Amino acid sequence: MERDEAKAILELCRPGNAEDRLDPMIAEALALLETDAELKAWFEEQQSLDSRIGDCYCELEPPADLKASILVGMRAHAENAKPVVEEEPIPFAQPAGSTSQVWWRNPWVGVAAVFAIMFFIVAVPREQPATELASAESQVLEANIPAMLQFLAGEIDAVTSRERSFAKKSSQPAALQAYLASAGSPTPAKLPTAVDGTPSIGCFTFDFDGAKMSMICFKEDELMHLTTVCITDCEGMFTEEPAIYEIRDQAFRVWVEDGQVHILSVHGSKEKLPEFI
Amino acid sequence: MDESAELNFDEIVSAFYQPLYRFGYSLAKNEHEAGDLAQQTFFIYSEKGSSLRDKSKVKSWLFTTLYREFLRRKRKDDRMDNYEPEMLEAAGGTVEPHIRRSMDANLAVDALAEVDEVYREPLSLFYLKDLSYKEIAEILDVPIGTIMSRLSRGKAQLRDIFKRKEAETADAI
Repeated sequence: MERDEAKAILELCRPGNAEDRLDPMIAEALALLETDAELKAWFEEQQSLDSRIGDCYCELEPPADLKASILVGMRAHAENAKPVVEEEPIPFAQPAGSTSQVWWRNPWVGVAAVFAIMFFIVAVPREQPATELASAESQVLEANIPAMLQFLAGEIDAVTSRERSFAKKSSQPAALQAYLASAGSPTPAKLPTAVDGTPSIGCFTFDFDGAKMSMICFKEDELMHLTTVCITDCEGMFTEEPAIYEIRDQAFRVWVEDGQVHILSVHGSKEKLPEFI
Repeated sequence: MDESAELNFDEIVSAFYQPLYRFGYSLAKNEHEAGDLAQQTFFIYSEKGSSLRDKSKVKSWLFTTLYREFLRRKRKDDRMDNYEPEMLEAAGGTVEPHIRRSMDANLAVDALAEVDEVYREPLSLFYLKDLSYKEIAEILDVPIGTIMSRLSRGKAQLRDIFKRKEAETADAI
């Protein structure tokens, strides 16, 4: 190894860093110091100066409250990413001196129960078509957002901020379906009503923990993304019941059909999700 | 959020918020923007960190995320037709006045700001002392050979500037 080459390599070595000295390329250059006194003197001088510059640079202190505000923000952020849950009813305080009643002895409970049963018989259809399973009544709100959805939310963020390039662009969803099928990526067997007839923009493929995911982006008035994953690739992650999630400023409707998990997402709150899929 | 996740956040923030802030500062040259970049990086981590399978990559992931976030904002600012004063400040090339910084920190920051732009990012990461040259190459998404030459040339520039500024400071005192 020439001296100039050794110098270029030794520039990579951080002062006092044992890990760098174990790097084979740096170790080879360091070995030359034993036989080259001039190189050794040069290296010691550079390390001393590097150490001084590094120390000065590390005196740049962040604002005193930065750590606390990051932690508070992260907690708030994580809370916001939790799924939509029904608010728990606030119990009314009992009037002073009243005795506690067993709930089922209250005659109003009986009346309410009768109305609830009548409502169930009249309003809820016996069998819902598969494409309408995601009506408000059938939403399942789970305790935790599956990691796959969190990953997808991040990828959609990257897509909308143009950090990702389409695997294929086309305004014809059928062309994208054909492309995904030929690439061995999960392809929706049929398009849900919500996006059927809507022009597409392009598609993406992702890999989450070994699970292949495909996403077709549609745009008419609003941007919508339909993601498809094979159900065997995400066992235990989603239930058979359709569900809605909100992550930051995105809403997701998840349902299982034909052995595939479908995820339809829009920008905004869950109210912006199409009602029928 | 469960307790272990909270502990994990706490540990990760404690370990990396300072070097991330410093790197953010070297990019944005603005205290508020640097703090915001560090904060945003951890927010992204709180959302996507669970999908990071190799936990030994957390450090590189955080720096890469901050760098990409900076580039994303910069691109966005460049596209803006109607810019605001604070955006201009963030995108500007001058170092913020010396607020709450020690003399030594000023010396390093000012010297780094004078180095050619192409060398500034690898040098900023190198002098944080936390990252190996391989990690720096990964974060900036450039080949290792390129990082080697940028560090070598950039350090030569920086040392000259640093020595000159050190002498100027000594004379002034």
